[in-house]
Amino acid sequence: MSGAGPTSFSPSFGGPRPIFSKVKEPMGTPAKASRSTTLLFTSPLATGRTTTVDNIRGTSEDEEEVKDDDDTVFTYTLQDAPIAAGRLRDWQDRKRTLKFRLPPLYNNGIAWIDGKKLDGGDQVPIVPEEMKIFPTEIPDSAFSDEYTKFVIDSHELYRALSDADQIGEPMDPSENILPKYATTFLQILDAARRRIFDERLSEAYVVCHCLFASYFADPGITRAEAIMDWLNQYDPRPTTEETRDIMTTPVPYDEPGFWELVQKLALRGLFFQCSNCLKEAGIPYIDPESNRALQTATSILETAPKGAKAFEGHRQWRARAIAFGEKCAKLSDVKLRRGLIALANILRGDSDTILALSESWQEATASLFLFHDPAPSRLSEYYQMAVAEFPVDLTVISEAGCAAVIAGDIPKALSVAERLDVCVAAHIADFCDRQRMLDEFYNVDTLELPPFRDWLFMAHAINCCANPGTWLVGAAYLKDTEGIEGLSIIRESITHVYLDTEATLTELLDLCKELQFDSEARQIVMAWSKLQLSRNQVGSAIEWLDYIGNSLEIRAITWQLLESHLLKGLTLPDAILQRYLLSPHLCPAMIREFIAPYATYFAFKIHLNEGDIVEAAQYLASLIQFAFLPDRFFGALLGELLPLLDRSQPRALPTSELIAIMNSLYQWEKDSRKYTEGIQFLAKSLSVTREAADMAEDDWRVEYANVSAKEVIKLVRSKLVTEVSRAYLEGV
Amino acid sequence: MNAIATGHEDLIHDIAYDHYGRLLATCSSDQFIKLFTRVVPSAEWTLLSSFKAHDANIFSLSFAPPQYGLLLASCSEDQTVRVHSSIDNGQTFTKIATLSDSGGPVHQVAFAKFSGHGLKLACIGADGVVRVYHAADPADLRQWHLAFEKVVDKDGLLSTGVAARDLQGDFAVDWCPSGTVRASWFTDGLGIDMDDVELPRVDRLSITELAVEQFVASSMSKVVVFRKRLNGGIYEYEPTEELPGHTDIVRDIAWASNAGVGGRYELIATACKDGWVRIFKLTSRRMGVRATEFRNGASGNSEKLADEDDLGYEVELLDQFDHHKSEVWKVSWNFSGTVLSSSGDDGRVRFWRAAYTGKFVGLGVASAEQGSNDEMDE
Repeated sequence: MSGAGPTSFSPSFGGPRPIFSKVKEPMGTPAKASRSTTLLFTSPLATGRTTTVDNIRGTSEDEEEVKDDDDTVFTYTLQDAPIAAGRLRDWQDRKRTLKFRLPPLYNNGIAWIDGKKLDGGDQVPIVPEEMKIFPTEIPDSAFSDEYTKFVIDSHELYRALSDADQIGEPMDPSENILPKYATTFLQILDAARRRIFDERLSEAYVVCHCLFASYFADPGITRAEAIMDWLNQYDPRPTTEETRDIMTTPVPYDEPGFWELVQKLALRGLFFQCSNCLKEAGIPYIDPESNRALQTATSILETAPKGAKAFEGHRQWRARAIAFGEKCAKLSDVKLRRGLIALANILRGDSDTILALSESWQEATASLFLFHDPAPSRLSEYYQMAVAEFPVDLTVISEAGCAAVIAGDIPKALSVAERLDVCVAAHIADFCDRQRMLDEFYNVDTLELPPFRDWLFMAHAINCCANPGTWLVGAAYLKDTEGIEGLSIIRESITHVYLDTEATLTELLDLCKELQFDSEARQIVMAWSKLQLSRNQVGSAIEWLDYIGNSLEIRAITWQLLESHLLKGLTLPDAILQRYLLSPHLCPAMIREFIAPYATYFAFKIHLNEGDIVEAAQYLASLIQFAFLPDRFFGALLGELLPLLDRSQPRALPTSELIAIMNSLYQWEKDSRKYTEGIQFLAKSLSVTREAADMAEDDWRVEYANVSAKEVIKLVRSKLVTEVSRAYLEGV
Repeated sequence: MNAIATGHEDLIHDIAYDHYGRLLATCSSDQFIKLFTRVVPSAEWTLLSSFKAHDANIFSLSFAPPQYGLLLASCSEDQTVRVHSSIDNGQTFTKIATLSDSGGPVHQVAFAKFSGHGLKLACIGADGVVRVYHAADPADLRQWHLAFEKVVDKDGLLSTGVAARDLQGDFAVDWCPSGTVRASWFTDGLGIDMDDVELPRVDRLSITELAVEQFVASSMSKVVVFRKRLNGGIYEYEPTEELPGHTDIVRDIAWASNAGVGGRYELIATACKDGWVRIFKLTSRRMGVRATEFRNGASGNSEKLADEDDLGYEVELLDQFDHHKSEVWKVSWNFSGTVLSSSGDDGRVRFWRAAYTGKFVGLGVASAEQGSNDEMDE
């Protein structure tokens, strides 16, 4: 991803990444590739070259094809790389290896050094680098802040275009909204590349500009003009300096490079600049014919047909240029004659002249297209003529992409753009798709593959999902793709989005609801409730569990709360839970049912603290006799009875309750497993008291901290018996 | 980002991320586990906690899915798997379970991402036996029972030899991470366009959704897929497919999410001592059957699919790469199964991406050797 910029590479890299042509390492050629080549798209090239699925994936064996850099990839050095330059062999001799693991969602993993032998044997001393971890990014996938802005801006434009465009409806050229949106996208991209200073993004801009000039130009200009405009921005010639160096001399006409300058300006369709050069060159008066010829030349240049009238006027204008050339042949002054004839030959679209004066295939193609015949059907012919003279430099990715665009091989252009920047490629593909330029690409052979536009958007969306802050953008793109891949990726990633706030939770749950991802919604809510628990927001956790109907988990939390309080003493619940405990009528039914044991214990403690021991005792007695009370709590709850069985205060429990508790105690002691669990927990509870420095004074355990758990139970039994006899004696 | 000194006093053997990638755990021969937290937005890691977790070298770590709280499993040369729980976002951990059925050092541990109910954990050790533990009650993760154990060999025979005790990486296990979307089983092979099917798009997922518990385990050079199937009225894990072609010890295995291919097939990558990274494509043999049923108007009963129609996978070697030119030790996937990383003795991390056709091509190389920019591959 172009947005990674220099930040994703080590300092030794020293600045923006090199152009793609610098790639070195051969990779990616499958050892056992089944090379079934399927024809997908016939290009308009005279040679009949075709774009195939294999071309798109980049394994073409055709040397003439645009070389796919999947065979060669970037190598970058880890920050603080632990192996000294040229010492790999020494490192290997230490029986070390490099390991790496990718994270669940993000695009930067961790590399570390491990030994190949675990212990003994080698006795290689450990060095500090071997106890470090090395953050490592997936190449081209990390978004810088500036690139994130580009991604978000692009997405907003995409949304606006989607809203405005009736996909599938044939475009009426006069109502075609795509050029307007294409221009805006190009402006967004241009601004981004200027901010980010990334060469690959700049190269992607070049390809995008070329494609938009070729297919999404303002209806007010011809395709030939648009392509020439693109060329003049991409590779401005003559340069300002070149023009100034000649035109600021006393007599420009006398400069050796004067005619070269004039011809270059003409070749680039810069008619007014060319005309001005002729006018201001200080060309001496020779004779009337020469003077007239100069006037004719400037007139032709200044009346070059443009825009909507270009097609109609071109033939007539070209005839003027041809006639002008014939007249020039009769001029007496050799220097002027030669210069004006060459100019006339350019203007009449003479291929030999244009090819001779051009410096690149782009310039030759654009000039032939502009001057010879600007009919779009002729473009591929001009391209062929140009590349025969000036071969495409396939090591420059953007040049390869532009060549594919000019050759009309849009799928190839998109696949090249994808290697430069998948976000740009996806949006270009979207424009092409809306213009029905990819229809031929989708046929029986691509049935099992997603549409190429969708695949590009998925690749971009996966990057968005793996970068903090753009997950929702990625999901939005994925929702718009056909097939189930997009939804599958949302489904896979949605539970990995970190639930930092409740707003994030709500956004994710809304999306789950929209896409009917019930299982994922439950997972997300479960995870959120666990997070809330770890933040001591128990009430909130329970509310969310109620939302997904997870009664088991609410019950588990209830018992965890009881356990915590039996061990650590009662702490004040959070506001939500407190509201439910104090006002059960506000409680949703399921929560009320499942937090009842904890609510009972809470009520017991409240009444106990208020000195209402009769009320407190009744709550405790009912909890002790609760049929589903986990066995481990029984002993500790019995211990809680001790302060209530004090003879110095009024009797707290009626005889029937006392007898019922004694019966429960008997049953509990009879079951050795239950008894053991209860005693162990009680012992743990008592030990906590012994170790705690800040135990509340009114905690029953303070008095019995140094008594064993079994002794406590014996004491409870004894006091229960005493209370029963007291009740008998009191006649109640 | 700069390298981070972990504070370990010996070699680091494994790292693990929590479900969100916000916590990182490292384990070492120093018997400690250390927890790091990702600082947002700088994405740097800072030490959060450290605790002694075993009585010998710790080999592997795995975080449980977050719906079970913050739960970390570790395995060690001390022949145990231990489960640690944190209730304070990783600042402290408490050991809540020790699983000690292995007859030797335990080399790898992995929590299941999806399971029918409760939480499952697989491990494999030097005895070549893969074990699956089950905590049936999510509310009580202290209780684990051994649900399955088997020698990793499709035929159930210990034919792989005995591992050297001082070598690591001879055994590996990984669960299938996907919620197993099987929509394509209805259409693949028959050229049925989903757009012709009169169902809302979201329903295409739900009607065909099918949770299949499956994992892949390796012992020495043997790599076997295990899947839970109904057998005589009982659900059991069974060795179902073997991933062939490894000519030496398999160091690591990684099962990819099938999201990137819409559940049409599964991808499993292996790292092998023979120097090859291999990517296997597992396509369900059932798809043709299901497509026929679908065309004939069957309702897509997922239970029936799961229980009776498991015809297994067609295993195909999708790609293999020997660019490391040396032993490969680790492979891992990104969340969508579209990017694979491999690393090994050449001191490089190599990234591979899925191209349009599904085949994999090089994406980039990260070198641990200084001055490797623009260097020619060896």
